[in-house]
Amino acid sequence: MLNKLRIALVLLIIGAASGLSIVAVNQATEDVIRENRLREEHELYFEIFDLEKPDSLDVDEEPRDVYCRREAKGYDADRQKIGEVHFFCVEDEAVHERAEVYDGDGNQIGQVFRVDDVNEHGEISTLVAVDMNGEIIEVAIARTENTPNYVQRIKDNHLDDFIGQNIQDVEFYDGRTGATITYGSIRSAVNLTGENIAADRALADYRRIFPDADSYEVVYDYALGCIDSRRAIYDGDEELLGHIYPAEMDNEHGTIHLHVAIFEEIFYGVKAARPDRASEEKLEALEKYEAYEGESIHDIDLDYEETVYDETINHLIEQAIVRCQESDEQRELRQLFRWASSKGETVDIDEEPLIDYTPYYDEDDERLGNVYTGEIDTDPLSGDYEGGPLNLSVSIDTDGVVNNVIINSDEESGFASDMLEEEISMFRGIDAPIDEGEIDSVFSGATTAGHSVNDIVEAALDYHAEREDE
Amino acid sequence: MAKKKKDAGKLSVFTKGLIQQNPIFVFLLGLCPALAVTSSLETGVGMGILVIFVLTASNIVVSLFKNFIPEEIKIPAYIVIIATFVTIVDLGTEAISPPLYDSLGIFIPLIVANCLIMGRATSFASQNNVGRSALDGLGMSLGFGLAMALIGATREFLATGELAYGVYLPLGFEGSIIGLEAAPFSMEVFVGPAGGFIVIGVWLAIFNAIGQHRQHRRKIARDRWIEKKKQQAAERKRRKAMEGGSA
Repeated sequence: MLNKLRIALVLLIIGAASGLSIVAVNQATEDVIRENRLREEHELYFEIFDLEKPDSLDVDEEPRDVYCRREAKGYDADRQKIGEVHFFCVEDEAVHERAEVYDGDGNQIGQVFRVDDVNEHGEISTLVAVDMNGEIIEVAIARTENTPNYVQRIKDNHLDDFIGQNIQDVEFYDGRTGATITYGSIRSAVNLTGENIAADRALADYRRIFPDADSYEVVYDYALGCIDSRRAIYDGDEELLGHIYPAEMDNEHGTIHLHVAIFEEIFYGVKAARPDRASEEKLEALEKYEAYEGESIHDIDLDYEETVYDETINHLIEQAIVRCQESDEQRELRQLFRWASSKGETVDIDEEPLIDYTPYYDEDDERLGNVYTGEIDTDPLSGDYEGGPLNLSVSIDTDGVVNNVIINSDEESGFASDMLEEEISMFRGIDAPIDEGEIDSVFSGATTAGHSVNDIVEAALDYHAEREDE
Repeated sequence: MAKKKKDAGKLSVFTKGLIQQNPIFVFLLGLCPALAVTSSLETGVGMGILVIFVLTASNIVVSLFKNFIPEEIKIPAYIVIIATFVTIVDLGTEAISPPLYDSLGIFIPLIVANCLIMGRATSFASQNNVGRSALDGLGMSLGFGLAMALIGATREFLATGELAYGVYLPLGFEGSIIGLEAAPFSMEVFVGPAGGFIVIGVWLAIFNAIGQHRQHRRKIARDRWIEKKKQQAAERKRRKAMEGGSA
């Protein structure tokens, strides 16, 4: 007994001495380490934008009215200002902060988003730098606990591919899977940066219709048709100001992007997205609709068509009106077939993984195609994924073309689930008969759920092709 | 005379780790960092310096408390002691030399699993006094550092044709010891793991060859000495026989 007590006492003393030593060293080095990290990080911002390496840095960490964190000014040996970086917190859990970078003359030359992520290999902090035109200047890994060899491989082989691409239209080296966990985090950081910049720009556009617009949220995401979504616009007090329908359509002048504002059957206006890039002809065509602002949507003259722009704008306004007037039931039907008006009897299918199919009809009772429901119990193969049922609806038109795929339920964890949602749109337009490997080239199935999606769509296309042939 | 012998003993405790019992080239201990962080001379030296601190300090502490630590908990107690010094080194490196810290990465915390350190704690420090343990730790870790520097220098030179310094260690300046600036000399494979294996293999072969050559020379010298002694004995025997005959 005495011996055991002695052992316990010795271990206690060693543990306590060890703990105290570490605490003391930690206390002594904490500030220096923090200072080093900040300096390293600030210098990286200067380096990214090809500014001279500062000889000295003044970091102001006092919170100010507009800056939620800090600003850093870099000087050369003669105390001439080389540039400055202003840091802002971003109200987005995943994006840690946004930094605006200015040159020595005080002109903004770009911005850097820092996205912190915790993946299966630990923490990773990614910097995504874009210039004032939205062109990616650099994607850098600021800090990571991920496997050094993988990190190095990505640094050597893939980060430079981002440089020069537009943040709104980034092509990833494997656009479908994210291939590795580390690359997945970087891909997510680039996407989040794009979303944040797009959101800022969109908000600036929305203020031309609702000057008090402070934030917005996507109410409905329309998978099919030329109206992208319904967005609710709020002011600073989170009071609803109205709805905006971002719309896009191709005409002979290219793709036309518009924001149509309609709320409670009142037309609030139609404006060009990114007016700085819009042609004068397009802006002139849009000006005509200012006369209807504040009027009922029924009073807008949508038959006036002098130019191609008039035709396109009228069509998009018309589509926005259809979207704003549709019921929940109609919206649900139109998720799978854009012009669906009703659906027929559901027929059971005794062929795994398919469960049943339902024919869909348009306003004239013409059959548009079938919607197939399928389910697979996925295996718990990868990472934290514990497996579980994955239930899909696949709409295939009478020509055998996939119109849309919707995930009804899945058990994938956060990141993989988001990726699944994002990538599933790639199935639209696939038709039967399926060529060897065609499905895999659309959706590579890097996750177990991904494999299941492939299997269900493939089974639905096969079944549909057989039935239509009969 | 006795004091001189004692000093000579202390000196051998210190010097044996440098070449004769070099941890990497003779005992093949600590090969993980020797492969992983020796892509340049400076990272090799950097890791060597960190190990000098950890091994010397842990040897001293283990030796100081060897009589208080019960046999049953020797290993966990030593691990806690070593881990404490490794944590101190980890924090210290991040504060003093961030580039070295970033470059050595996970291999700083992994010093705790370096079998050289645990090996010296159990086989030497726990059986010797503080002075001898400190000398052993210093000598062995210097030997480790020398080997790391040798491997690092070889790999960096073969891979880049240069030997640069001041990049990772806080020397306050950067420069080149050797700079051939000749592309044909640079073989990038030596920066990678394969290059690490090749360089360590070559150095092991050289050390083995030198060791065998020494052994061979020692054997020849010993054979000669035995032969000489035999001849002397035969001579003595012959003389004795002659003296007996004349008498």
